[in-house]
Amino acid sequence: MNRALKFEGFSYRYPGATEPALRDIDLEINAGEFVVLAGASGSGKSSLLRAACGLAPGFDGGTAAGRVTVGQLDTREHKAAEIARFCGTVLQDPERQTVMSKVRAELALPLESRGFSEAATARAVEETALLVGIGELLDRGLSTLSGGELQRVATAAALASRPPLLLLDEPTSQLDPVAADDLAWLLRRLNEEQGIAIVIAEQRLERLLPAADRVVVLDGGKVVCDDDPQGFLIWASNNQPSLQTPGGALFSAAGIPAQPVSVKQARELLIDQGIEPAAASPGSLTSGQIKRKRFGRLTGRRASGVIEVESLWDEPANGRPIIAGLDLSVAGGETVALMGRNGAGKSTLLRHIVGISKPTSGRVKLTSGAAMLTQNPGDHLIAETVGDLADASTLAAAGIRCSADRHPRDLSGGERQRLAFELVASAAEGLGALLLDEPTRGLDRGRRAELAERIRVIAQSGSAIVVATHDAELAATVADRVVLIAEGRVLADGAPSDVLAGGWYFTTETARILNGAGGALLPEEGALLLTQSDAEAQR
Amino acid sequence: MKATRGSALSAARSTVALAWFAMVMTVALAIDHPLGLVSLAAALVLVGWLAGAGRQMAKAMMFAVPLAITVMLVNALVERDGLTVVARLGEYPVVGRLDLTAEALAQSATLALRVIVIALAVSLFAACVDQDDVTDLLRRRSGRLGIVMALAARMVPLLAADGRRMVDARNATPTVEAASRMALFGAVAGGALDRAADAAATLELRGLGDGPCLAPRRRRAWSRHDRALVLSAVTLGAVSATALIAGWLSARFTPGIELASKPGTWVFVLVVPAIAALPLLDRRGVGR
Repeated sequence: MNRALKFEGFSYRYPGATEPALRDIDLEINAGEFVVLAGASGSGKSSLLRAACGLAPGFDGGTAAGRVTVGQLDTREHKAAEIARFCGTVLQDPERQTVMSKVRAELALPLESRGFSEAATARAVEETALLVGIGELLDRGLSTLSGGELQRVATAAALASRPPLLLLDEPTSQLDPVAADDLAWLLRRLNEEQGIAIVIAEQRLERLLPAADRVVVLDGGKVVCDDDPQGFLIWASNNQPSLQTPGGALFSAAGIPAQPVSVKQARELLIDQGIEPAAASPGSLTSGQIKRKRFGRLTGRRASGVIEVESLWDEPANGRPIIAGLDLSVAGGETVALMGRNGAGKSTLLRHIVGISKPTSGRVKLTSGAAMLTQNPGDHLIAETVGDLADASTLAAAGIRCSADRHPRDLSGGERQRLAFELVASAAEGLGALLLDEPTRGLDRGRRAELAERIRVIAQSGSAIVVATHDAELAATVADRVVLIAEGRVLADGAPSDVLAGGWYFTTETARILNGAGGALLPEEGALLLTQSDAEAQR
Repeated sequence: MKATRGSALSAARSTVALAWFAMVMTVALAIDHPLGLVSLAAALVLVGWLAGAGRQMAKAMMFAVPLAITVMLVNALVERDGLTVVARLGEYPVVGRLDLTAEALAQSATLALRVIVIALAVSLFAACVDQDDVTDLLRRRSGRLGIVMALAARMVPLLAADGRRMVDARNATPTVEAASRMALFGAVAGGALDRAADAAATLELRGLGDGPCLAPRRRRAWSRHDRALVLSAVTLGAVSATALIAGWLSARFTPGIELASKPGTWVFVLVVPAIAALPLLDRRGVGR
C-alpha cells in the first residue's frame, strides 16, 4: 500500500518553549486512510498537523529531530509550499485562512501559484467547487459567507490542486451541528469516492468515528493509542474516559462491555442485549412547558424575571429581520440555553440583552444589568500583561499558573477562554445576569465539564444565566430550559428533555441512541434508563 | 463592503472599469468650474444609485464631507489673493494678517467639491469593481505584489471588524475598568501581526513560492457592458475636452470671480450624468 505520511522518531519544540510539543512520534498513514487525531487541548494534535504539512519547524521555527515524509517529500528538504502539492491543509479558523475577496479567486490561487494554465485552473476550480458543493458560491464575496460556507471554501482551496492527503485541524469547532454534520459527510465522501487520505484533529469524535479507519491519541506530545475506532473506545474507557464519546460513556455507565462506534451500531448492540427503550413522541418537541428537571438539578423560577425581553425586533436596513418579535423571561438562578443554527439570532439576542445592540422595536428589561462573554475570548483580554487584567485569585480560578508578566496573547486558547470567563463572571457578580456566547468553543470534554460546573455554581448564587451554544451536551448538563431559535423567533422553549430529546440535530448522542426515550440526554441519565429497561425485561 | 446588486461596472472586465474610473478622475482634476464638478458629482451619485452602491457612498461621505470642509477652511485662510474682503480676522504671529475674501472662499469651495467627487468615485469603485480582478492585473506582472495588494484589501475590513468586536466586548462588561482607546488600538495592531502570520502560513499552504505565482492572462470576449463603458469613458473625455477648449468650463477666481455661463456650460452639466449613467441602464447579464 502507498504511504501518504510518515513520522519517524519525530520530536518538536516551539521557539522559546521549555517542553517539546511532540515527542518521538512514529506514525505511518497509508494512502486512502481516514485517521482521526484525538487528545485533550494541548496534547499536540495541531503541532502534529503543522509538522505534517511542513509549517513546523519550517515556518514556525523551533527545533526538531527525526523525519517527516509526505508522499516522497522529506519536510527537512522541502518547503511547505512544495509539500502542499501532496497535502492540502485546513486550519481551525476559516476566516484566518482566506486571502482573496471572492470564492473563485480563492480556489484559483493555489493553482495559479503553481503556474497552471488559465484553462486548467478554470476547470479545476469548477470541479473542486462541485465536489465540495459550493458551485453556487463561486462568485460570492468571502465576506458574505457564513462560517460553514467559509470552512467549505477553505476545504475546497486545500483540495483544488488534487492532493492525495488532506489535513484538517478541528474544522467543525466553529460550526453549528448541521454544518458540522455536513462537513463530516463531505470528508467521508472525499475519502470513500476520491480515495483522499484524511487526517483530522477533532474534539467531538462521535461525528467522525463511523467513517474512521484509525484513531490516533496524543497525550503530552506522545502517541498513546493507535487503533481502530472500536479499539480506541475500549482504550479510552479504560485509560482516558474524558475522550470517550457520549455513546461510549453511556454503555460504560450502563455496564455494557461493548463500545459503539456509531448511533446505528449502538442501537443494534442494545437490541442484541434485549434492551429497546421506547422512543419519544415528536409532539414533545414543542411542549413549551417548564418541567422540573430529572436527576435532581436546579429548576428555574419564572416568578420575577431578572431578564425580560418583550416583543423584540431587530430589522436591518437591507435584509430580513434578525430578531422577529421575540419574548423571553429568565429568572434569577435560572440557566437558559439558546440553541439554533448559525445566523439564527442567538448572538444578536445576547447583544440586545447586554445593551450593545439597539432594537428596531420592543425592549429588554434587566433588574440590575448584565455582563456578556463574547465569542472571541481574546477581545476581553486587552492589557499588556495577564497581571494587569486579574488578581491572583482570579488567575487561580482560571487555572492559570504562568507568570503574571506574560502577555495575554501568549496564553493558550483554553487559558484565554477560562480567564475571559472568570473576568466576565466576576463582572456579572454585582449585576445579576451572565450571558455566554459559545463558551465551549475549542474546549475539550474535560474543560467543558469544568466550565459546566462553574456555570452551575454561579447559577446557584442567584445569577440568571443565558448560554448561546451549539453544544447540546452542555445545554443538557447546565440548562434548566432550552430555547430553540430560528430566523429570530422562538421555535421551542422548555425543559432540555422536552426540547432536545426527540430532535435530530439539536440533541445529544445519548438521546439519538435511545431515540429520545425517557427524555434522557446525558450518558448517566441514559444508563439509568437502560438499567431500568434491562431490569424490566428480566422480570 | 460590496454593492448590493450587480451593474455594468461589476459585470465589465476590470481593465475597462478601471479605465472608466480613470477618465472620471481625470475630468475631476482637469475642470475648475464648480458647475462642472457638481455635474460630475451628480453623475457619480446617479451611477451609484443605479449600481446599488448608495449606502457605501453615503458612508464614504461621512468621512469625505468633514475632510472637504477642513480643506475648504484651511485653504480659505491660506489663500491671500482676491479683491472682495468679506471678513478681517486680524493680525496673528507668524501668519500675519488674515483676511477672508469671497474669491478665496469660492476657490476653496471648488477644491472641497473636487475632494467630494474623488471620494465618491473611489467609494463607487470599491463597491462595484471586483478587487480580485484588479489584483490579478498586478499579479500578471508581479505575483507577489498582487498578493500583497489582495491581502491588504482583505486585511482592512478584518482589522476593522476586530476593533469593533473589542469595543463590543468592552461594552459588554460594564463593571470592568474599560481599556483605553490606546490599549484598544494596540490590541488591534497586535492582532494585525497575528493575522499577517496566519495569512503568510496560508499562502505557504496554497503553494506560493512553488511556481511562477503569476496570474494567467484570461481570455474573455468583449461584452456589451465592456463596450458601453468604453464608449461612455471616451464620450466623457471628448465632451470634457471640447468644453475645456471651447471655454464652456473656464473658471478664474483671482483677482475676481469669473465663471463661464454659456449655453455649452449648461449642455455639459446636463449631458455628463447621462453619459455616465447610460451604460448602467442595461441590466441584462449583470447578476452577481
